[in-house]
Amino acid sequence: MFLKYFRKIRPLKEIIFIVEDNDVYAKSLRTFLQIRFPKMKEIKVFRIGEMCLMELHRNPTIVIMDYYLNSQYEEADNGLEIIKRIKKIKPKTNIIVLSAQEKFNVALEVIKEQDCIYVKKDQDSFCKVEQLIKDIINGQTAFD
Amino acid sequence: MNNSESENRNLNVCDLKYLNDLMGGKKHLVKGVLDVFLIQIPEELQCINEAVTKINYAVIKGYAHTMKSTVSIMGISCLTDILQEMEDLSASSTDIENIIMLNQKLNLICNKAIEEIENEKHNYV
Repeated sequence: MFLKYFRKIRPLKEIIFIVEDNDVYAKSLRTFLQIRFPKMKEIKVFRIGEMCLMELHRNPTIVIMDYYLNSQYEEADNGLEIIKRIKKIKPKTNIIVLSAQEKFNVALEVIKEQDCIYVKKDQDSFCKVEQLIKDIINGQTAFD
Repeated sequence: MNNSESENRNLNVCDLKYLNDLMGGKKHLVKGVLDVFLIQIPEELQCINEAVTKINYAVIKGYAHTMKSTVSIMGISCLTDILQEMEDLSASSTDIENIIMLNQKLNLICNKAIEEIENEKHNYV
């Protein structure tokens, strides 16, 4: 009984990285996840993929990233390049790719090859991300 | 709500219900996002306007794409199709005249949205 209670109140050890160059979207998503996962150790936003790579040593459980990352920073790598680099450095990292792109078939195949999950940016995307995080934390194979 | 307020609400370009739901109805959290919007949108508009002037299709496409996410959060549904068309046209590097016309609509609606949010955010203190 004590163990059950302890599990309820203990803080989570998981760290989530959000890689998103749209500040409104990033702030909304981060705040939404903080509300839904108040015990999460940390939810950190990066505007540039390369900055996220520099902190990969902190072993984030989940990286949520925008596919179309370099809309404002032409020199920065796009989402796909960052995904490949994350998977090369930390292959076990769970990556959720967000995108508002309509015509996405080719990129979708590549994302699946990298063992990531794709969530289309629409009115349901935050709830889908929430469910995926729950599945990952609970040890379910959300990426099957 | 009297008739005048009801009419004004119907004329609004922003619908903050979705954002309110995301933030669990917590006003200070909604205000945090509104404050970011008020900084971000004028910057994005300026960049897209410059890109249209210089006929830089790649930059137009990038900003039209990223603004789609912004307007969906703020419930500015009347901009969704406009931004999608700007993105599609600039992706194929065609029809700058049409892009200019769409950009004028984008500016009008965004400026109306900024005005609304400036007024509305006082309710979220």
